[in-house]
Amino acid sequence: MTLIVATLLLFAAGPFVLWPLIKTPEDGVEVESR
Amino acid sequence: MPVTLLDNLIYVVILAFIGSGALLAGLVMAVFSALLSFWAGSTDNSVMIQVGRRAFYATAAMIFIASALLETALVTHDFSLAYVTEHTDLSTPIALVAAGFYGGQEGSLLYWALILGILGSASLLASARLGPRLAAYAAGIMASIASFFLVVLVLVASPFDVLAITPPDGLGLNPVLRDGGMLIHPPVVLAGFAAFAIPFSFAAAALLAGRFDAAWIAHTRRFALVAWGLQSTGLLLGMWWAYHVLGWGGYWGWDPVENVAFMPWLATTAYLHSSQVQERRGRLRAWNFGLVILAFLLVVFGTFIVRSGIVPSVHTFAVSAIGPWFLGFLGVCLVFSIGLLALRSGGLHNTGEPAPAVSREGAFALQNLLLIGVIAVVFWGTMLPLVSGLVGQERVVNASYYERASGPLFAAILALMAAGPLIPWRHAGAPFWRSLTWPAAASALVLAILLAAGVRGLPALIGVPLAAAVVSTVVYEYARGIGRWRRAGGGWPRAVALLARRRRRYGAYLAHLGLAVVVVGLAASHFWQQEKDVTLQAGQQVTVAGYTLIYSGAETRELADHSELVAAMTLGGQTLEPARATYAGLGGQSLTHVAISSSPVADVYVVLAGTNSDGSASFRIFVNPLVTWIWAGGAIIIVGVILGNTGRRRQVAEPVTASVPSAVGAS
Repeated sequence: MTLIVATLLLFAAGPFVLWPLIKTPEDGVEVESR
Repeated sequence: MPVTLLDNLIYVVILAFIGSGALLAGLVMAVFSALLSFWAGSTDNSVMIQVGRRAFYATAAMIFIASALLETALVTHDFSLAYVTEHTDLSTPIALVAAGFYGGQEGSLLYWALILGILGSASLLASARLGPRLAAYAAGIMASIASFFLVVLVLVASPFDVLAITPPDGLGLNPVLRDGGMLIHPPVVLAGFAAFAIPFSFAAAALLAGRFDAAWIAHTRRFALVAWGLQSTGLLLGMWWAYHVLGWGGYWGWDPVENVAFMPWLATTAYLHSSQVQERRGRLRAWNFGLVILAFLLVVFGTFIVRSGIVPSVHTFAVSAIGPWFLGFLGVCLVFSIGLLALRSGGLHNTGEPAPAVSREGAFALQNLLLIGVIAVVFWGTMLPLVSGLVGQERVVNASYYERASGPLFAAILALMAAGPLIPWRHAGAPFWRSLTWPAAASALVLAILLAAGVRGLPALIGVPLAAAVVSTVVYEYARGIGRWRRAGGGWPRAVALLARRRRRYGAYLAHLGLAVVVVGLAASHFWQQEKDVTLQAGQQVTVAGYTLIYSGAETRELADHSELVAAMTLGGQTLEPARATYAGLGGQSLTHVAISSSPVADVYVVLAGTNSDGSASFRIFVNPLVTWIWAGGAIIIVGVILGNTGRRRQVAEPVTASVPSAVGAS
């Protein structure tokens, strides 16, 4: 059960964490990164 | 009943499984963030640096979810969780039930991780100026520290363990912890401990990235000041709590747990001063790295001491089986830090010119050495039972060891506090020696007053005049500021502008002033405390240090979770009610409730020892001069820290006399 909950939470956090990979270059590069 | 069963099932499912699931997800995310941040930092992959940083924010969010669920379980009395059962019960006031979050082993570890997540995220959000590489390494180190805590929380000390049978009530909080102080002292101390991880992470990241300029100092100093401010507040609150609750008439007992909270504070005090030498003069680079690292290592060491119970302490309620985990963590941190310093030692040469001994730089260096001396005294005093036990008979030192060994060092530090702010950078000329007239005159005057008042104890005759010298230096500096303001034309807008521009300096002076006030309070209450044990019948009176108390009788009161034997005493028009509380639900544990009448001059501190069969009552009465000065001085320090640490910081550039690595890093 704990494993399932952890997987769901990780899945839910995915878009936020992976956003720099998801966005297209046209979306603009975050200023702080360079 | 079906409804209760359903409720129970929902709680177990929602709280326990989502809580432990969030911790596990947090662990996975923290490990991911650590590995990715180190890799992306070393390959300078800006997109992956961002992903690693976001993974740290997500880790913080998972820890926050777990914390919110644990708090919910506590305040809803969900006794299906072992943690809730072990640390609260139905009769405990709800504020203390909520405080159960950090009242036990598992919860306090979760709280530590939560503070690390919040402050770590804040420090990463504010790290844009440092360049992506250094910030990536810092994220990696913070994520690694978070991983350690989450491993312990998931594998060894989960706050979400479910009991096989849900009991109708819990065991309750330790009576010593059932006090208002519980609401503020532990969270502040634990937050202070956790906060030291931030400066450590950025210092180690700067070493990893090969960035030895003052940029990491400017960023780290603010978080070091946050940690220092929290730890100052935590130490003072601990003293206040010990004084008001433990009933032995004092506030500081050189207990190992107090000592291990004091040592990182000392190391950070040293760093906050020596970092200025690097900012202004480009010197003490390796030393500054060393101090920040030392402060964090002392925190981990302290946590190991508290949790392992390896040396005898009054904080035995914190002892548990996770000691070895912290010993392992301490070992890893130690090897990592020393290895890193050794690896980078070649690049840590000083860029500025050396200064003569009598200069601001020299004063800071001497102050640092004195503080390290105090740390050594406290460290060996704390470790003696362990070390002596390994080689033969276990030996324990008492307070007089600490006082005699660290007293002269503190006196020298006070003298430096009086002279240091007046010494210019680089070179001290005739104006400096002339400016010393003020603190010297102030200390001579106070010394004369003390001698005339019949004071003969050497420590008081040294400490109090030196504190007066510190105050006079601060007043002199403020007077110079007022003079500058008047010459500029006066007016409120100019005063505010002057304060804002030099807030770091004036904030620091305010902290010095507060510390001097604390020292006077410590000296007076320590050296001039009076104590008397008496047994009185109702109507009889006793006089201690000019304060007359009349005993008017005792009664027993039944309260929600305990009964109290209250003995009333009148002092002037005031009624003091020292009491002994008995907690029936906790095997009849008994606790004293001190009655204190406070004034700026002295505290009258009454402890009820017990009542006797002939109707008399026995008391221990203390008169503690100037104790309120300690708390007032502490408040001044905190105001000084806040004043010096608000708003945007003016960047003080380190003098550039050697090649400074680019924003990306040199290694």
